[in-house]
Amino acid sequence: MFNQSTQSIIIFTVSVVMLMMLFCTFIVTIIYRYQQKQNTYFKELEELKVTHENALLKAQLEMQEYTFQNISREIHDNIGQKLSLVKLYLNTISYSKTSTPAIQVNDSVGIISEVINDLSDIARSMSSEIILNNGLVKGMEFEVAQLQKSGIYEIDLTVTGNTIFFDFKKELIVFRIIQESLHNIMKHAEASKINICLHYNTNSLNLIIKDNGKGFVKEAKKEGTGLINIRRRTSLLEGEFSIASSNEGTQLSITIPINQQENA
Amino acid sequence: MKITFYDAIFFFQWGCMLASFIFSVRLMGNKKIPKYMNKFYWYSLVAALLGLYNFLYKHFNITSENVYDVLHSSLLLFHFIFLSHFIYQVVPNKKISKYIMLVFFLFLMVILFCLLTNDFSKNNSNAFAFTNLGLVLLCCLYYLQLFEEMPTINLLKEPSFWIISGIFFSMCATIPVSSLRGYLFSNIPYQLYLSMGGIGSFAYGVMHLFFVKAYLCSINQPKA
Repeated sequence: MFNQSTQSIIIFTVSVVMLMMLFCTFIVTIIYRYQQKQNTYFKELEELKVTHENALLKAQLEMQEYTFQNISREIHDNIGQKLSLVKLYLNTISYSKTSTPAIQVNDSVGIISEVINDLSDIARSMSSEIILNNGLVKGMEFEVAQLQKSGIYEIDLTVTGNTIFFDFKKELIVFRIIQESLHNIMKHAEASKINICLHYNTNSLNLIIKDNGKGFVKEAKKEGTGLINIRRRTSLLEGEFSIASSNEGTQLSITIPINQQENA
Repeated sequence: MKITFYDAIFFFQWGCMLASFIFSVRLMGNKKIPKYMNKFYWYSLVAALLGLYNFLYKHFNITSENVYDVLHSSLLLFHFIFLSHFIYQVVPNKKISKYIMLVFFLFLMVILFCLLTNDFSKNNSNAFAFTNLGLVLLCCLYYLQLFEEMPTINLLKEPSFWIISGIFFSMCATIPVSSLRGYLFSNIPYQLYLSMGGIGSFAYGVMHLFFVKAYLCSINQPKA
């Protein structure tokens, strides 16, 4: 029907068309499967992100709750007591004697001034403003100064490496971790010395909090809420947490990765 | 000079090579292209020069057959080593990179053996077949790693994907022809033999079109 040359061209054309069709099917399949895998991957990534955001939100709520509890305790134990004393002074003023009221009023004014200072300190300590405006290191310095005022503790704060200002939310969580640790020391350790060391590396922040308190036996004692909170907050920041304790004191070490690009 | 159907296929192949070379020139000195694309234009350049040489040899007999065959055998090695190295560069997965090295050295030994045990100056269909087979296996390893790694790239905009797809298509299409070349030459009509050879030329041309696509994708790619 066809001559040999035409037959060859037909065979060539058919072979090429079949090859192209096979190849196109192959390429389309690869791209389709890859995109399917990509969609699943991005979906999982999105879910992970949502879970992480939720955990972060939960942590923030917990921190808020902790803050409210602290405010309530401070008002009840400190401010309330002082104001009651002022009320007592003012109630017992006898207007018949001219010298006594002046002393009592002066004392009351002194106590009210103390109360105003205390309220101001509480407000600053509980607020996240200090971290937002001045960063973690300044926040820590303020916290240490507050604690030193009590006269019970000798506190040493050391900051080494190049300070990196990272995400405010993350800095706040680190700050709350430190506050929680200090709170634990005050509550359980019976310590007189506290060492806080913040070391900034290029990719991480190392935090060491050490006290000379009585320590605790890890196996014998079930982890308390404070430690659980510290551990959870550290894992939220994808950090590493370790604790070592003996009768000479306790050392808490935390390493938190810093993503410089994210913070830029 | 009468132009036959097979000449037309040859011109198609050479046109594709030339297009690929012209587009590759556009990438020279471009700092935005991925690192693995920096030297790839050498392949297009050599291919375009070889195409020109083939044309001159066929129509004007510029060199002896011996020179022609030695040149083709040497460039076969260049083709295999260059493309294998390219595939090795674009595979980030360490485990698969090891397999790539293994396949590369294994096939390099076989190809060298085929070229050296036969006369280096004779056109060697076994060496061609093993080169193609080796590259097909390397391309399969690339496709495998695509599904092993985290799927974060956009394949349609990934130059390495288009280059390797071009190589895969061309090598798959030419394996049967190159491995049976001797048999086909003596057992089927000459016209049919030519059309079989034409499939190889056509596939090689298409491979260069894929390279053009890769060069176009490279222009706006972030540096790897």
